[in-house]
Amino acid sequence: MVAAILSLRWRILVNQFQRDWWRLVFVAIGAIWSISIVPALVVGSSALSRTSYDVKQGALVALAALLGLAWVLVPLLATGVDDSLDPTRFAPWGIDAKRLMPGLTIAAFTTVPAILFVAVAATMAVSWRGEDRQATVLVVAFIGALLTVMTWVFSARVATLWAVRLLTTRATKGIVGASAAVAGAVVAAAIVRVRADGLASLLQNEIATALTQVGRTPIGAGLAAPASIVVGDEWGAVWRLAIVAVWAVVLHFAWRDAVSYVLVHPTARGAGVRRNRDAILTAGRRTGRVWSRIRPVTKAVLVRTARSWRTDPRYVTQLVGALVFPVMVGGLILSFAGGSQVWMAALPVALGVTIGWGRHNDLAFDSSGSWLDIVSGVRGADILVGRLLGVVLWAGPALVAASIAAAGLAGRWDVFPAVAATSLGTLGMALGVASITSVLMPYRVPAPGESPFGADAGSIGASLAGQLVSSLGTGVVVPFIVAPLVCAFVWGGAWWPVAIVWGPLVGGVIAWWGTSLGGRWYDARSGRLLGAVA
Amino acid sequence: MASDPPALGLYGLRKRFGRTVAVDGIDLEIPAGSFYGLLGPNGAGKTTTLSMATGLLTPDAGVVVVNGVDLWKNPAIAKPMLGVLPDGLRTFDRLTGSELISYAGILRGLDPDVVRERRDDLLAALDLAAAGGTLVTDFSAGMAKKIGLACALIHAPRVLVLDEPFEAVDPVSATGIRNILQSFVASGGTVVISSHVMALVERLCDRVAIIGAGRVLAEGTLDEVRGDGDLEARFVALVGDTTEQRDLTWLQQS
Repeated sequence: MVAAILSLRWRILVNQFQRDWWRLVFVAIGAIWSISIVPALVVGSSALSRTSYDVKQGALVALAALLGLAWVLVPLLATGVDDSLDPTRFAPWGIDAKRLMPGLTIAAFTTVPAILFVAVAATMAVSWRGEDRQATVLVVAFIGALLTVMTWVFSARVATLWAVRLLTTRATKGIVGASAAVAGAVVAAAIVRVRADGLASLLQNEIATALTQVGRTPIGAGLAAPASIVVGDEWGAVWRLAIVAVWAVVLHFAWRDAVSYVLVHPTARGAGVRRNRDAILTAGRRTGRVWSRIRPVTKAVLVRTARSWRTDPRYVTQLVGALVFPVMVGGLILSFAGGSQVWMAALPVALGVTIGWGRHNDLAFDSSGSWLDIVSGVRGADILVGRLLGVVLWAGPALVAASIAAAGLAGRWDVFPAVAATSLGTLGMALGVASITSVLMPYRVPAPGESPFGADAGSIGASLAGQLVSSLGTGVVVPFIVAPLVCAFVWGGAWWPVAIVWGPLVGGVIAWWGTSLGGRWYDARSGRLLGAVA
Repeated sequence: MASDPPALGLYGLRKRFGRTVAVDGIDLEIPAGSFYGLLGPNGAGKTTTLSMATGLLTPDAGVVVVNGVDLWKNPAIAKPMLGVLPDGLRTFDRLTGSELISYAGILRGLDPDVVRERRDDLLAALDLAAAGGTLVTDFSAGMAKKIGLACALIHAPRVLVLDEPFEAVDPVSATGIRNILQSFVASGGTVVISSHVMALVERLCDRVAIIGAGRVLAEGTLDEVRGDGDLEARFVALVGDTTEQRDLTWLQQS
């Protein structure tokens, strides 16, 4: 079975590249990028090897915690992960999880990220050279590093399968709501602490204590174990390696359990939900100053899209990812930037860009349902505006909330209106650009009912191309919108009111222009769109 | 006096996917008021042809005319005349059955009150009233087919193009659908269906075309195409090749 699964993976790859040879170019770019970080790793490892054992231990535990978190979150928050060996694909063949697992386990270590991170961990282990009892220390370091990578790889698989399971239950709304509440509480607590003690003191005292504790848990113990040998505490090293090994075994069992569950529980059914109200007709009859200005088709698309954002696991994961990922990255940057006001303001603005950019393949998420729009002869612009408004419905309030948090962190409530306005502008701008790229460069995404965390095995290259072009498009326009806000922070005065007006105005114009132009291309390309996404 | 234009005319349709030629020059004229059956083995190019005939797939060459209007040049005029049920395509599965029909009606430019009335009629006629509040994602294959048919009918089109409309549908519902389609044709509408079920095509259709390897192999009235035998024998004679069929002795139970 191991050989069968590995050869299956190989065959899928070969067939994919034979069909679309140009995808090799993007794989090559990925490989070159991976290789390009090797010198930085070697330099880092070499610099670390010259530090004292406790500094080394702290740095490596921090690295293990960050990378461990990334291994859990990235597959959850970023779609497009190759799912050619998604266990649900084996369901029709009647093979039980016990027979599948050895093959799936080995295959999990043949991916580019797994190979890259084994190299990263091994390079970090080498930084223990030069210590007393070097041979023993290095052996412990390598064992600890490999065990740690195993826990990363396994935890990524467990997190994805569990998340699918949670998202397809009636409890989805509660889970997302609770996660948002916890995230909000953490941000609020962080604001209070940073305002009270200052970021520098927080980093110096709290983080150091936290790292020592993390070094005693399976998350950091693998990379902390060599330090125990250095100080002559052999048992310390043994129990640290032991808890990481036990943790890896526990995760592997959890993975096997999750695989055997998904083999007999198809994903993404509607959990038996019934709705008696016809939301499409209700929206169609709604009047009022704003609603009566929206075209009936656009209203119907808006209601449909808003429903997807609330209930479709593929959309819910995108929503959570769009909100959490930039906040995490922003938080990391802030912790190094020392809480400067300018960087606080950048957070909601960047959030606006990333939410909008994330819609660059928006149409494909309708998957083959788009046939109904196309055979009905509806104007493409009406579809695109409806979908755009469906995003604004949740992203608008999210950006205002992020602006409040940023203003609170900076202790500058006076900047709130300009920051909020600019972030809404960047959202409009990025959505406008995304309206165009989603028509011009669509690529396949998981269909309704498939794992929301996967990608079509053949879509990886196309997704890279689409992401590259939309990044370039967005990147070119961002400075244009953000400029007045930057000027306001530098020179103040009249720039503040300018920034408040400029962001929404220009963002709105680009959103309108993007949906108009994208709509015209949608109409012209409608006979090719389905083939590209379905 | 010039004769009426065909309800659906396909002229010189071609489509190639990479090295595979899916449709290789199909010419068909489907008269108004006919119940037309499109037959062909798996991979013959039926779905590709119907996709090009309904505006879902751009042809490499050829023209599609709906009641005298070029579909690909004037989609805004031609598409409202068509009602389409594709095969194998999913739909917006987070809407309920009722909402999906309403959505299709709004897309077709109908007033919300008209949509509500027709939606309720369609749900009752297709035996879907109980499923109206259920999400489409929870529908069985047969129910999804019926809701797709309701979406195709809501704007009372002049031509219905239905790809495998009876697939996975239970016999009771199939009878209901047959009655709806037959009375639609009796009132002057045109129905084009693709199917593998010969008995069904013989029972419903007055004209048929058999497609193989992307070409039209036979076309005409039911009697013209089947000749002296039955339709299945004619179909197998045209597209089948059973002389090379292997005997799977290892499958025999005794």
